[in-house]
Amino acid sequence: MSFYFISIGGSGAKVLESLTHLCAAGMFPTEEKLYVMAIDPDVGNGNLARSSAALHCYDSFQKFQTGSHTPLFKTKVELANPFVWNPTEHDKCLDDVMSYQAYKGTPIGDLYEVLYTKKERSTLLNEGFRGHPSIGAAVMAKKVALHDADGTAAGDAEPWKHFKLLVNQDAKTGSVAKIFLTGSVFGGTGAAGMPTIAKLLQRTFKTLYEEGKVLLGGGLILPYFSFSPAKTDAFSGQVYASSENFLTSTQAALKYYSVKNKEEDIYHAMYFIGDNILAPVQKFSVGSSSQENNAHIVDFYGALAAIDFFQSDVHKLKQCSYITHAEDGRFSWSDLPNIVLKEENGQQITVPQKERLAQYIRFVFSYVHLIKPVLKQLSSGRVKGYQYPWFIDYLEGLNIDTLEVKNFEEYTECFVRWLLQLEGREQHARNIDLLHPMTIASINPAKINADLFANCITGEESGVTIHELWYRLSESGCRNEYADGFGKFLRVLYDCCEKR
Amino acid sequence: MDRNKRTILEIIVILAMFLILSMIAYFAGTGLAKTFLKAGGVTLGQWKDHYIALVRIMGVVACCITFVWYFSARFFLKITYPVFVGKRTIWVIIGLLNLISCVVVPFFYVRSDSILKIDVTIYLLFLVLFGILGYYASSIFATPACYKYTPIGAKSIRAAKYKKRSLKE
Repeated sequence: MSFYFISIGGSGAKVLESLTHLCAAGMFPTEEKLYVMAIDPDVGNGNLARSSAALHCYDSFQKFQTGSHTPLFKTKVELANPFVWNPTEHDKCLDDVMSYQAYKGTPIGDLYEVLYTKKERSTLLNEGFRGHPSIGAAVMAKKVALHDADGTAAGDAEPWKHFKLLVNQDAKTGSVAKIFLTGSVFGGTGAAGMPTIAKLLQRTFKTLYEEGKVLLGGGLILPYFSFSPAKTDAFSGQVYASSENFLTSTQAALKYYSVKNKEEDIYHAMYFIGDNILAPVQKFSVGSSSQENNAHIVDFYGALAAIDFFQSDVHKLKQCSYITHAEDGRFSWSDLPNIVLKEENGQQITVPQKERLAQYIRFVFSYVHLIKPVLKQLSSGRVKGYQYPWFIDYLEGLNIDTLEVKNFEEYTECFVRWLLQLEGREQHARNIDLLHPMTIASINPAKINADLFANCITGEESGVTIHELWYRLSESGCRNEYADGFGKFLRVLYDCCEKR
Repeated sequence: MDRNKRTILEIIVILAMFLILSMIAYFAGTGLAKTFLKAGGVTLGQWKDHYIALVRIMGVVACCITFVWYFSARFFLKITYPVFVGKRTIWVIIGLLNLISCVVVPFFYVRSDSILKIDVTIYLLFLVLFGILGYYASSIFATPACYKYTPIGAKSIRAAKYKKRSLKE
């Protein structure tokens, strides 16, 4: 079985960011490879840039030899090339994409003029579809139609070509390809792409789809934030998303999915994730790099939905389930679902999410607090190695000035920032109670409150103080023969962060 | 090995080491005494009876000072921030204290004992056995993991031992 994840638009990118961290933490059910791809006309989108940074870092340091039988970095990812598929070209407006000039004055051209305002038609699509799925749907449908009209499938262009090849290879080896799409139903790109891309995939893999060798899952993100555009944007007459329309757009989208999925049975599993309290977005942006919204619990649940889809048996996918949380206005560890892992012998074991994620959080925190500053000081020759037994035992003589190590360090920064945003006590109306509120002292660079390290996970006395961790790190050896180099050290650090 | 078991083992190793060193100090001291005990004075038998008490006291004092380092490293010196974590200064100070005790303890003991006379060679013997060998060997082989490379030279001995063991595993 192979896993494929396609994020569509900004909300999809945010889910992807959460998924990357869960992936690194070893929350995936098996050791299958994960193929990841993003679809966004706004390639400079801040949300996408953040997810992409974390994912590319992970892609780089997954080469670390952490050995066998560890959840740490166990899921290997393969990034699509190009990673972001842009359905529009640069500096193109709807008129260009739809070849309006060719149809001008014809009945089709007249109909087109009726359906889209002049502003919608002339707005450049570099920053996405600006909350107008009608534009996105037309563009994506046109792209698909263009390929079909030429007698070529959409898969003839990269990254679809390689994607198609991988799925077909899976089918040849008799395994099932699970494809998960995620995006918002209320915005522009996601709302346009979720049904269109799903349909495209269904059409492309028609036979495999009917044989049950391609399974399609959808994570549909419902509204969970609101914003007020700055006056300057409104006055400049730009086309932009409006959060007042989110609920009506969502209602219409859900009606569409209800009818469409009954008729055509596109998705094998659908996950609807949203929040009845809309978190205000601090800084409104129509798109591009300034569209960078903080991580939210909804993104996290979106990633959990993807994992649930990947771990579920085929016959369970059609079941209708609800997931909720125990206390209104508060999320705690007990609200998160357990993860079901498949052992090598095929047996399933259930691991509490808290256990695994908590260990991973401690692992990242310890790296940020203990290891990273020391490595920096050691490389500058300001401190002597004898003070750090773990350095002498595992790292002395190794070249740690590598791209992989740098990427790992950058990743830890991404992870801490993501975690802080997820908690986001000031921004959310929700109380996300996963970490001790004072644990993360600062970000950029990330700093941890060392005194709270042992109790950083809410409701848990891990007993792993910084001193205890140091002791474990200095006394334990790595007994895994496949672990080597910096990966071996990270493996030991991770093992030392276990609650005992 | 379990950390508590290791602690007990290390304590036993330190105790055993000082016991052996005390025995060496006794027999070597007796041998040296023959060179400086004058004829017609205190007999070797009388001297040995008093000397053994000094060796016992010296062994206990040096062992206790060694345990100051051991217990500090094992239980009292806590690491919260990765700065100044070597504690080599503390290790050196305790070592110096041990060396000083190897001179001060026999000096005052001899002053209070009219029978026991000791030569400078006995001082040297105590310095070598208890001050250097006892403290140094104990801290090299039995310093808790957190500070295992703090004693000067421990890195070349313990790191090599550790790497050899890791390769075996």
